[in-house]
Amino acid sequence: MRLRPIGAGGAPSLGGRTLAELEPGQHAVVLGYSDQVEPVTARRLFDLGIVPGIEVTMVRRAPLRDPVIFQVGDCEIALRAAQSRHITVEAVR
Amino acid sequence: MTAPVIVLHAERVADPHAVRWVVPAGSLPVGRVRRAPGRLGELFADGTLAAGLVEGTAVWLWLREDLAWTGHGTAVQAALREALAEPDEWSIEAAPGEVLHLVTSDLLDGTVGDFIRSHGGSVSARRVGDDEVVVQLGGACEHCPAAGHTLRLRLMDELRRRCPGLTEVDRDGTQLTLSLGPVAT
Amino acid sequence: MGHPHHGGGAATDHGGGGAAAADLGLTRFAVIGSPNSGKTTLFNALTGLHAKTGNYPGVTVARFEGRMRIGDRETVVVEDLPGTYSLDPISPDEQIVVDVLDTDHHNVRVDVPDALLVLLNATTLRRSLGLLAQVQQTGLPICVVLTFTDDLARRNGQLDVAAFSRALGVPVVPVVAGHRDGLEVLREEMAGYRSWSAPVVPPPTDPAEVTGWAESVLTSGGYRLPELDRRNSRIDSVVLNPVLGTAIFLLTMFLFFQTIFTVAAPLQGYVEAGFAWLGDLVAAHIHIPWLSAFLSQAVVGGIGGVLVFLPQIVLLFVLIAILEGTGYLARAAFLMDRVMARAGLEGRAFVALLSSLACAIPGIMATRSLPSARDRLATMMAAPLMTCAARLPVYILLVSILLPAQARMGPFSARGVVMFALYLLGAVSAMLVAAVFKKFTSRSGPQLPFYMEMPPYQVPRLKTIAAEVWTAASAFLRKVTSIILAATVVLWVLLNLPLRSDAELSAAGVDTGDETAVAAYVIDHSYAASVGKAVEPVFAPLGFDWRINIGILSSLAAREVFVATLGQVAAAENPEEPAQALTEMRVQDGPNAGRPLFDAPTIAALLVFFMYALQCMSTVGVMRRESGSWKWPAIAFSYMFVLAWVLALAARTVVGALV
Repeated sequence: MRLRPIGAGGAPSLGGRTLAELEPGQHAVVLGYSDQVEPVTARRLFDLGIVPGIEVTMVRRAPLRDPVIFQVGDCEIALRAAQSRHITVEAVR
Repeated sequence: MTAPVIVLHAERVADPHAVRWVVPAGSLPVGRVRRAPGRLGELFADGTLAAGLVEGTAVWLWLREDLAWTGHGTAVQAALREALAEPDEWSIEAAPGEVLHLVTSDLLDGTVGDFIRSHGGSVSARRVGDDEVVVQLGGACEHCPAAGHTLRLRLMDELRRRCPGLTEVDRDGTQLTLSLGPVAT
Repeated sequence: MGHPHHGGGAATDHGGGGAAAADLGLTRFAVIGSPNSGKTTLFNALTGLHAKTGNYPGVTVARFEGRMRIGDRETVVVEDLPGTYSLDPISPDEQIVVDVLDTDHHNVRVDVPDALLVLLNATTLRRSLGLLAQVQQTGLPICVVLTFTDDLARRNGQLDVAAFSRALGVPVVPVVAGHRDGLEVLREEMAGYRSWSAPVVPPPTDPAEVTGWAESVLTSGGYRLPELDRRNSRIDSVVLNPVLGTAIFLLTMFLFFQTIFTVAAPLQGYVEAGFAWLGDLVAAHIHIPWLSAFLSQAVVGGIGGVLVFLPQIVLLFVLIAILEGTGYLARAAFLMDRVMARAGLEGRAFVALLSSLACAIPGIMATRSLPSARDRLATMMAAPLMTCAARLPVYILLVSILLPAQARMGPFSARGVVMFALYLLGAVSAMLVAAVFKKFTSRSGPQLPFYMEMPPYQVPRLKTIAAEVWTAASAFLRKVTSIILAATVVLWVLLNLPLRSDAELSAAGVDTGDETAVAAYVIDHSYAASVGKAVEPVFAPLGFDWRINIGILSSLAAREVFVATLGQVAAAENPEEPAQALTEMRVQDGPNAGRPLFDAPTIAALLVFFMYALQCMSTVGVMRRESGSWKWPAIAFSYMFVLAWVLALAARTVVGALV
């Protein structure tokens, strides 16, 4: 697992997408959190290992479209769109 | 500003005045530290740090005799982290004999030595000349047919991992002479 | 999702904070680690079934403490701290951990431990090391316990424990759930806690720096990342597939209900037969009439009527424990999260409510798996509305009076349809109530975002399942043998006193030779009757008479007592055919005198009343323990009583208009 340098939050205007926009099977690297994210949410995402530089994969959606399971590092974590749309990522091939 | 991530951790060693700071291989040239940048340099200058030695994968730092790591550890850690971000600012002179002796002694104080001692043997290392180290097995190992084998396998493997460029100069029963060649950086 | 703690029943609460007197002077170990690090399993393994459960003062956070022996003879206290990801708290649970480790301020609510066991999940090491770095700042002696090392190996991961320990500067003990060797090593290690090595330099805690430290330590330890858990992925691709997964889920729910009604039936038959035999035995061998009546009616009849449902409850618990142990319940929570979100809750609340179908007590304890304290409370308030097994004897009795066995609604049995409607209504009401409570508590703290780590699938261990089933079943048994027995006995006494002399009976026009008539008279003028008549104003609008009132009042202790009470009253009137007696009961006075007591509107009112009222002292007790105060059980009792009364009246009115 490669770690990219830690920077301040990603800038959506540079074409960064959000975690919520990934399709099943897509890989991406986390850039950071959006400005509107709540401190409590940011802290919890950090604790779960969703940190800038980490590779994530969108695994599957629930039958009712929400929540979504992501592969973050070594484990699978389910997140709702309400949280995953605050995480900016850069898709990788 | 994107600060690079400095990979670093501290390990305790036999000498209470020294701490072995583990860094990725190739971070710094191997040898004795003459000068370091930033706050680390200041710590050397004002005598807080008595000496520094870089082996293949670690930086050894010695505190002044009367100081303890419990009081200065955190400051040194921060200073070292800063300094590692500027590897070109360090001034390090080659000291192959000293480095080899340090690493060998460390291994003999640790797992390799424990292994030998657990079999009733004894082992020591001493410097010979500028860059040679002689390792001597004793005790039960003197008459053990596997002694040479032991020395070679365990010690050499570990040593090679930590000191690239290791050369075996001579092997004579229970005695092994080693030297550290020039290291390709 | 985790395994529940044992010893959930007998609670010694730590209301004023600090250790219980008996624990003073004993060395305290605290177990700290992130959720899903295997903490609970380790704690249970170390302390056995002897853990005390309680509450941290003033918060809805459960507290677990147990004792164990280390070394030769030393007994120590082990406290299982709430799971936390870091020492920067964002919830009351995490705040507790920070308070406990606060060596500077000696928070009066909790005790500072003497040594710490820091649990790290070997498969998520990189992420977990941040917590270790923070904990190492406290200066307390630390031993790292490495869990899930078997999973690490299975997934081709690797770690050199000795090198890892050297790099961390603290002892590291690997343990595998269910294997004793690791535990023995840990026990020995704990015996020597005073000489645990500490890192020569404490690691950094700044998030940017700690990542570098973690990377360095893991490299020195020869850590190789485990691969993706392929077995997991394969199973999940079926279990969480939109079509197949939903089908599997519905099948599981169907299995649940089958267990409630069909599967347990043969076992119930045995229990019934057993108690019938016991009753006969009593009648045959005890010749003191009042004692014989007491034992056969109150004890055997009352308890027997309740224990008949024990096979059902045990089977439900077994099913839940198996589902939990395999890791399926986490998937169920994932599938149901969107539905639960409508009520302001989350997927794991579904699991708590599902458990409440067996009994609200384990259901309420299951709320511990919810990270948000607000969610825990809302779910706790709603759990009693789920149709628990205790309501079944009441429902079955009332529905059988209301509808004959052969009645049909379309292709379905009429009784079946009504039962299904009761279950459905209970579930819907629970969701609505939870939503309301969630709204009302919006002032008490920030809303935690939803997140759930999907645990790996595992083959559940028999011992764990047995322990979980025992914990849940013993809570039920305790209720039966204490509350229900006591209530039944008290009721029996109140129904049969005051004793009437022959002279009194004759004066009232009762034929002293006719046992039935005598019994009926005694009951009609008993203490219980006086109480029942005294509360008539409250229940009269619902169509209840004093006999039903006694039943309801007694059922406040436990719902099943209602059946026992009515049974005793009916048996007095018709010892041979008590069921018949119920259908034939007439209203005794007032404007409806002479009409059948158990007519459709009254039964409807009764059913609805039992659907909503909180009639279970055990539930009240558990609520008090889990929420940390009497406030919440009091609120629950009040709102549910009002709701029950109002909706029962509505039901009566509606059914009265239709019939």
